[in-house]
Amino acid sequence: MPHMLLMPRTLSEVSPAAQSVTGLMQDWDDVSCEAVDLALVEALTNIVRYGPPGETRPIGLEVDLRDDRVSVDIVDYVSPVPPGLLARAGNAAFDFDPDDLQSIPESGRGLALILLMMDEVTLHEEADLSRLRLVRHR
Amino acid sequence: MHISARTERGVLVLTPDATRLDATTAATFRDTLIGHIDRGAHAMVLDLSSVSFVDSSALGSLIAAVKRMGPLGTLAIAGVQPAVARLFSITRMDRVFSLHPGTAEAITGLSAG
Repeated sequence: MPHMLLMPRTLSEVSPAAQSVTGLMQDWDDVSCEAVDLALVEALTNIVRYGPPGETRPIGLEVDLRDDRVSVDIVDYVSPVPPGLLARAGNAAFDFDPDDLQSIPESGRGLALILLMMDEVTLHEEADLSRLRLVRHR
Repeated sequence: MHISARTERGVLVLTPDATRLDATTAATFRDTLIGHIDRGAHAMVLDLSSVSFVDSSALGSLIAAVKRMGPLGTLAIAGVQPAVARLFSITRMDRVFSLHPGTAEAITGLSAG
């Protein structure tokens, strides 16, 4: 039976929501819990920051915890990831010249971190909902 | 979030009291660091021993600070917990910031540099 959570659409609720999910992973190792924590914070922060102005409906989290994996669906009325961006994201976000400080980007690492922390990241567009599925295997 | 400041052996040591540095604290974090830099701090140690979580927003604040500091300044980081150390490694920020087990080692490292 999946666990269902609703997160108010505000930045101050992002970390508590992520910690609610990792709180369910009681017998999982620290590295996996930290990875899920970071991936959720990055995804939810992105949704709150770049979602449509005036949108007040909460964001849904559906957590399916199994012996061998945890799957978290982030369900929202708008796509949590801009179309096409998921396919283009990758470790290039972490490339920079350490000898040229001024060229180091201050942002743009969130999606790459999500992909790195999770084993599967898929976006499902439904009739009036978008579902970002994050899966981490044990 | 409050960030306490003290000076040890001529080095400014900043200690945030938060356990998580994320998008809710990133602006305050950035403004505090840059405020100290603009007031003349060019050797700083950031004590993250109480911080168990850092996200990309907070990482962006650190990058903004080191860019503001420029090549003549140094921002060392002390006391990183394992999850934070992994983030620095994954994002290759361990090539930008010197990481030290504690503030004493960080201050010694800055003094030697």
